[in-house]
Amino acid sequence: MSAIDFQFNYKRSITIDRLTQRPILDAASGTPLEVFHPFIPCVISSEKRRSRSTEGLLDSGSDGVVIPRTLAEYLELDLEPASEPMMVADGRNMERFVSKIMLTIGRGGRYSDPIEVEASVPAKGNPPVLIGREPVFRLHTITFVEAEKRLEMNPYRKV
Amino acid sequence: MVSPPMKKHGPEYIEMGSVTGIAGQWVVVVKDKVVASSDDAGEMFRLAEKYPEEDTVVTKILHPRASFY
Repeated sequence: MSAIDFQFNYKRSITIDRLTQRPILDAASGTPLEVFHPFIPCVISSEKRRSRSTEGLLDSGSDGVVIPRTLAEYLELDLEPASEPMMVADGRNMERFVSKIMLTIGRGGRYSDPIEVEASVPAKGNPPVLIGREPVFRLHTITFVEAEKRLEMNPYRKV
Repeated sequence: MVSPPMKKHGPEYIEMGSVTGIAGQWVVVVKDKVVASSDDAGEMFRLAEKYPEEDTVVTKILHPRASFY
């Protein structure tokens, strides 16, 4: 399998508050708050459809890949009730479904081979695409350089 | 603050860019401009099919204090 050997800068975002329709401000400076997140580019496919390029948040706190239900419906995934609910960070259990997807990491003609993944689809909520540990963190050595807002992903090689 | 310059050595580098949008919404970005937004990811992926694949990204605007599962 062809894993990727890439580096990414963190995605920069300025967020508009839903209620005020104005940028959320940095409390110290009073200027629009810039936030950086470790997103990576990817494409998600089912047997029926393939997404446009999207971005998944690398999340070492998640066991696996999570996608929102509306994306699962767009991909026409066959959703099966999971045998176990998803336990979220505060200890609550959340009903979820599971389905096989193909995850391809990259953008602009530079892609990994597709990786077959069992994705979790929460019954409620609207998460981003979350790229948790299985299988992406198992297949790569991932280095977060938080001070420089960048990360590197290299194919894992046993030493 | 501007995103720090990337080191161009080593592995191939992919620029992730920047985006401005409403907290929690999904957006369609075409040539670095947000052309649509919605709470419904599926709606945004369907809309994105109308734009050239190489110019188009669908992403989510995270709230600065968001935490997930």
